[in-house]
Amino acid sequence: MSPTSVPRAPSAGAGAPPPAIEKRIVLDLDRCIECNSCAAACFLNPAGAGPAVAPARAGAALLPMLCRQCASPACVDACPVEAMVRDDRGVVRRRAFRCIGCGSCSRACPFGVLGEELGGLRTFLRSKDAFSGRLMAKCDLCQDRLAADPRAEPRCVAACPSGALRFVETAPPAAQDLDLLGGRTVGQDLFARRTR
Amino acid sequence: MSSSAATAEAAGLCTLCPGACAMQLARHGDFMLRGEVPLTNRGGLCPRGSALGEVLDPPSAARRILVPQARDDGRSVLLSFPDAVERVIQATAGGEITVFLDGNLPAEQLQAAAAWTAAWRNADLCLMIEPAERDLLIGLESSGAPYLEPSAWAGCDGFLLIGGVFEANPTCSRRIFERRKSDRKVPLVVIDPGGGAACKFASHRAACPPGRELAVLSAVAIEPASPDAPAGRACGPAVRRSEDSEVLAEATLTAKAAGAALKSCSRLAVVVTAEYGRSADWAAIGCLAGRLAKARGGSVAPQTSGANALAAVRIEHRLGTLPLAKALLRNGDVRVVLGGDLAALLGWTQEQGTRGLAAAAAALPNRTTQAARIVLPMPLPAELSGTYLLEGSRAVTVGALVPPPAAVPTPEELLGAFARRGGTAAPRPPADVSGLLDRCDCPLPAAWPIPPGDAEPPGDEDLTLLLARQGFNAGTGEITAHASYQTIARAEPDVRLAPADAHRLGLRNLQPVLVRSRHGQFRGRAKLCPTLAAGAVVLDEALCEARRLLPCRLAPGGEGLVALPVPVTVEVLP
Ligand code: SF4
Ligand code: SF4
Ligand code: SF4
Repeated sequence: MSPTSVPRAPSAGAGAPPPAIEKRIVLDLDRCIECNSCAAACFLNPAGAGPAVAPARAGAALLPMLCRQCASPACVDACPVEAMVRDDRGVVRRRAFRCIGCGSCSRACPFGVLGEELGGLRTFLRSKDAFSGRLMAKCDLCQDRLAADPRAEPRCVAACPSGALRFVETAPPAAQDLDLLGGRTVGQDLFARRTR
Repeated sequence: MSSSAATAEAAGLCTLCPGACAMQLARHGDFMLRGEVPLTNRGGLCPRGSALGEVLDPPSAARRILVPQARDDGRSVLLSFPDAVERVIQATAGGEITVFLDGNLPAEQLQAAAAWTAAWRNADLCLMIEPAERDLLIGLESSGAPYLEPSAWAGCDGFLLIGGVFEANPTCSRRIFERRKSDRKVPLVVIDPGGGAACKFASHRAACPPGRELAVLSAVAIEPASPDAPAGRACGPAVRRSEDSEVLAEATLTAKAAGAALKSCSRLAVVVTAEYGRSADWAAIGCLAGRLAKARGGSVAPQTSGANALAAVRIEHRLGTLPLAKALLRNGDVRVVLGGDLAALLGWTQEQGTRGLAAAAAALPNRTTQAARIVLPMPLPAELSGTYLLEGSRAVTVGALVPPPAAVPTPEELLGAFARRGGTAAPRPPADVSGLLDRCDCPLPAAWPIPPGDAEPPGDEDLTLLLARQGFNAGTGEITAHASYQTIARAEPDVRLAPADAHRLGLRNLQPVLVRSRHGQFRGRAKLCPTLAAGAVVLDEALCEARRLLPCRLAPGGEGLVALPVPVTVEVLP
């Protein structure tokens, strides 16, 4: 299936679950310089599903919130109109023509990456109206780029000047010299430089 | 939706800072043109670089200045190009004319403009760059320190960062992180009263009160036990204010520790950015930073707000074009501004900044074009090809991403048209530009007096205003201000405050605030910044409204331009 074709039915109740995603984006907490290059590149992506990468304050740091492309995505389960799906590559995507902008996925996501303040089109359209009549922004790992070149990286990763964002094989992290903590990778001295 | 794969239209480099990131223009569907980051990571593309691609897009192009216009009795009238040239010449009335040209254009444009103005009896040329950057670069050139080549970062055994370096050029962070990844013991010393991103990664942070970068750098450089201690002392005027015991007392402990950490370095990299409104000492800081790097077997890496500021300084030195301060002193002259935003650069009001202004040329409207009687079109940076002095002062030929729109003249063509109409024959074609771009052999300028002015004692409640680089806007924002990420997602500018001050003021993160100095006021939203020392408040130096709170002043005799930190109050808005 071409990455740009309509994804198949949602994973919930659709027989065998899609295979695990092959690559995903991880953030090195010890490298993010809070430059917003990732957010700007995502914001300006004309082929994507809205500005899906947006920074959020995490204690002393302002860090980009990135979808983890969960194997059992709560956002997909929560969507009442089956607009949010996990496709046959394991990428959790939003079907634009189905999305009614109700915000259920945003509330369901345990990692807050679809938060109304973070990535929703609300910010984009400068509207006080959080959800109704809008589409939720959702990272699809820049499928248009991956379709053009299998070595390509999502825009946020390619735009990251510090090397904090990486597009890596999902398993096994240790073989890639990664210390994964959820969707984040950290150096040996977690937060040491940030709290000094 | 991923309904349309992008077609690559052109590839080139971003020239908004010396990082020179690779960028592509991509066409999405039939009409949408975008600046895109290449498919795989070759360094990054910051929000400024993304904006540069976007302003070539048709929606932004709708705002472009494509034909000459005149303001007659408040009305805008379209002119033909010959009529516009005629009006500019009439406005000079045979008198003197000062041409202010954006100094961050390709070197060939700067050289050709200098040739035309030299031939034109009535005209003088000023290559406009940030005043603080010009001073810093002169200081670095005078120090004799080599510039850091891209391949040399990996071999550095220590880094000294002065100012908001990661904001000025985010790509240099990767090189520093890679080096520290291979050796965690490599010291990373940061001197930044603005509390920029690099502070979070510092192994040693030298505390620095606002405006006292020179004193703190002196304390770091003059490490008493070091055999090459003269690095700091040898700079003469560089340490003229380092005797300030109060500052040194406060900074001594951290500066000494930082100095000790760098003591054993044999390949020290000094990465420095000159920020507006901080100090009158940038030339001395540059000289001292350069000498320190040299004494430690290392190099310097200046991070400027355009990619060609170093070329402009060298061309000014070789061809004797007017420094900005001297050009501004020429009150009787008629001014023509080609590119850049003179009023915004100086933090002056539109009226002050455009006094004597006959004409302004720009690709997109700015405060200077808004005040000019005659407005002319000019290409965007991505539409001109030519030579830039990029990282490590390498001369690199950068191609245009797209040609300028039809009938939009290059600065060289514009100046040529004015000069010809003013009776000047075409000058001999300039020689190869490379001869102009060799290092300046310039001495450190003598310290000049700080202009008298707003010596207003701070009140009890006052904070000190600093301006600092932020990664969103390039220069004074004349290009990026038109891009959608900056105007929509970043519509409310940050007012960075230390958590202790925010607590004292009863402020929460992201709450709207009003910052007032005696020169004006600025509205933004509070951003609590744990790396900022209490007592300082920081605004984005690219925003003209922020610069107005601490406008540039001319030193007597036009020796320099200076803006210093000022006291401000911060008011919480409902
Ligand atoms: S939006 Fe949240 S729940 Fe859905 S896949 Fe991403 S991280 Fe998981
Ligand atoms: S581009 Fe990279 S360094 Fe910049 S905010 Fe995003 S993750 Fe952090
Ligand atoms: S401004 Fe500098 S860091 Fe940003 S994209 Fe351009 S060259 Fe790269």
